[in-house]
Amino acid sequence: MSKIKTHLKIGGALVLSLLVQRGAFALELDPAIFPEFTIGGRAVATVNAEAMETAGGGDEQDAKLDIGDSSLLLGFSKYLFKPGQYAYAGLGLRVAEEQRDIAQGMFLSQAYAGIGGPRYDLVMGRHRLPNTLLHFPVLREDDLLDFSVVANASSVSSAEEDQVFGNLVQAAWWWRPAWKFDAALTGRAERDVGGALGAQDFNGASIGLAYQLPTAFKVARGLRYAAVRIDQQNARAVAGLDNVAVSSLLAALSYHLNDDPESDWAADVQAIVRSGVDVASLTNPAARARAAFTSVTAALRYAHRPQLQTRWRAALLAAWQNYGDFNEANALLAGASYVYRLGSGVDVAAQYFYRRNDDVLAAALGYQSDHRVQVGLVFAFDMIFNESVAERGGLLDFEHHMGGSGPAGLGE
Amino acid sequence: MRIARLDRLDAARCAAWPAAPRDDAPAYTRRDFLRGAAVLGGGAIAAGLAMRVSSAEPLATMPVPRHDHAGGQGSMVFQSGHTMRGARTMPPGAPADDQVTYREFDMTFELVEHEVLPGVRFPVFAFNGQVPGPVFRVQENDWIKVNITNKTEEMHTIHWHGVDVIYTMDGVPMSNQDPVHPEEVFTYRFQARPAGTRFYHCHWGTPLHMMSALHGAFIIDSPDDPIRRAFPYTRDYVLMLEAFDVNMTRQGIDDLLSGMKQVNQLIARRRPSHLAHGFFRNYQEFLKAIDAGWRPPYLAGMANPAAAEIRPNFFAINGKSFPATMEHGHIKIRSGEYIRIRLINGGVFDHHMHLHGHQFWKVAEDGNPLPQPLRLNTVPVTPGKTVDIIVFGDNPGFWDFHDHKESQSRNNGVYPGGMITMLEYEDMGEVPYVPSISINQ
Ligand SMILES: [Cu+2]
Repeated sequence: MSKIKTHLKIGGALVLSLLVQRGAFALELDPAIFPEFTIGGRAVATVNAEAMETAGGGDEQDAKLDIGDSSLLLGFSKYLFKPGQYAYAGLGLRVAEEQRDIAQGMFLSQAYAGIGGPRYDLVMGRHRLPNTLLHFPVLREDDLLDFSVVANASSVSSAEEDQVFGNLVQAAWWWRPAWKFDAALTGRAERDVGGALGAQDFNGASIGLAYQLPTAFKVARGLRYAAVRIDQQNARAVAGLDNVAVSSLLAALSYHLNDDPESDWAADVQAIVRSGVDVASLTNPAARARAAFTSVTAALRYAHRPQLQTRWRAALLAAWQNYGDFNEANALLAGASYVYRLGSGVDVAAQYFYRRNDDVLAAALGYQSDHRVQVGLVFAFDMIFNESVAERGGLLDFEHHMGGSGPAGLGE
Repeated sequence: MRIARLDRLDAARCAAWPAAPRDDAPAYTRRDFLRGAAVLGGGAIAAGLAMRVSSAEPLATMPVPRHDHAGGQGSMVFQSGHTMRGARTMPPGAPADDQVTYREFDMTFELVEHEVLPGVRFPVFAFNGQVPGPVFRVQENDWIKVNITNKTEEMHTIHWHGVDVIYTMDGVPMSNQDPVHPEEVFTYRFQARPAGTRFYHCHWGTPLHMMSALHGAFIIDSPDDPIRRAFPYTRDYVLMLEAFDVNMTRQGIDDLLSGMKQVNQLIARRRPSHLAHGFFRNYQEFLKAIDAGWRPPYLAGMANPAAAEIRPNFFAINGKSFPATMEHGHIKIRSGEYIRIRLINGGVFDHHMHLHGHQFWKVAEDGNPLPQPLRLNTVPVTPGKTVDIIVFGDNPGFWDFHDHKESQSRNNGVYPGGMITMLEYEDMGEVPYVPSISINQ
């Protein structure tokens, strides 16, 4: 009987212990249960070329190599004593986006633990925030961040660290396999000028209702996803802004447009509406996150899949945002993304975005318009070892109510 | 041709069987009957074959093999604009209903959750929703008709293992029939022969489908069974030996159900793409597809040797792992009684069945009587095999009967479990020690 014991300690926040025991002799078997182990990751390397028209009317050009958004995620899961109940943990590292105010190499994007059963799930830790409903087909998280995510009103940083990820305790309940209700207490990062991170208090809450029927399970045309969410922030005093409550409403639809799995068309749209509070200017991200705001983001997606083998995917994207209290200050974004598959998980990717800010927003953000081209390689993998925990999101559970349960969203 | 081959088999079998006189009357009677049946059914068989070889001659008299068959001829899979959902398929080659008397059986392919052991449930494909599938007991030379309805979203077939069927009923997808599509009803017709312990299993996606858990016993009895003559046994047990990789099965079924959603959608749109499912008319077409950029799925597997492994963690007899094998009860015997135990390997792993306290006779392998019975206490039952043993009740007690590949006498690694059952004498009276259950040693 050999024993290997490894401890992973990350910032004291999470201790994951792996115990491998060969041969099951013990009367007390529990510590010997080897968890299902997922290692997933994504390396994104692109050459970015940018041509910007500044707020003053000047031109700026820039070209650089970008590895932002590359990430590594470790996931663990195992069953509990009670049949069909499971526990899971995840740990994610991410390369910070470039040109961000607090970008510092890699950061801890996620560190969470959860339990669940066939129809419920409870997760706590640092996690992706429930502040968006759809993941749009873009190369990098921040390509659409201004439009598609409810911004953090407690941070002066527009970096992903503060905008996409945060602390939470979230419970979800599926009363039908396709219908999910969830509620969360959220703790968004509080970051003031100077970059220091404030207290990790709960400063928000969220409730959501979603209908989700994965395309993989129903190939024919029709509604695949519909969701609404209310996001509430008790924004903390930063950058001279007061404590204030900010509420946002999100709604999204995803519609599958045709019946042909070999050439697959789908459309996505998401809207965010925030009543907002009075702020003096839009210069500061925390101020923009408090102002009255409306955005709509839409995508038209196509996957070319002859003989059901994906060769390439393309998407057209359009987004619009508007700050109602600032003389309808607004921005428009249009773009296209294209991904050609070279191998399993290996893609050549290209993306073009054009963004135009109106004069008010141009003054606040420092640029009038922006052309951005990214061309590069994406290497992604998702490897499961000791596969033993069934997926709740699997077809067996979804349609047949058997074999199911297991972490939802592990690896996101 | 068929009769000539049978004669050879018969001669080989009977000549060497010590307890069965070679030239007894029943054997001749049986042959005469066969000859008669072939004459009756001959027209239909020849007509069925003629469709495929473009010749009015029966195959047996053809001088040389012909090479002008077009790959995929007769298959619906390569025809565009069709759907096989809800089709009723009855391949030619068998006698018509008014030519022979069929024993008719209705069966289903189902997806069910099977409990192999308390607390261990996993999804499986199962004949009639049961694990193992129902035991057929038929008489040699009975004409059998099995109407099987596919109640799953996946494709299947039935292969009649060790039964000399008509080739269009052999159940090997794309070799001699199209796979049975969702909601399709497929009719198998064949004559049950030769006598012996045989089985049936799905031949589509065999490693997964046969193991989990499309397998069942097909017992062909004969009034002149030489084994019964040599060993006048009074009870007959069928033990299907099974290995389940619960995780692989669950994951595999989940994955392929998702994949079949798309394939079934193509079929429903009457745009079936045979390439999408890896069907090719011939080898040249396969090579051409790869040249054209189609990616064979086995290339993806090369990066992931772990995915190729089947690691069964539960081993079962007739669907249950010890101690749940006790749900079937012990194998009962009395002093002075002969019993016959038919062991069938329903999976793809080796099992070495060991009986304590007895030297049994191995009397048949692959369903066919052995020239000489072998005196053994442990008998390997390797994949695809059936083994018949005779136990004589000469040592009263409670006796373990188990897989001596002890790694497989475990439940998810915990000993004892898996393929363990017990031989129990019914006529012991008061005994000094009665078995209880131990599941963690
Ligand atoms: Cu099958």
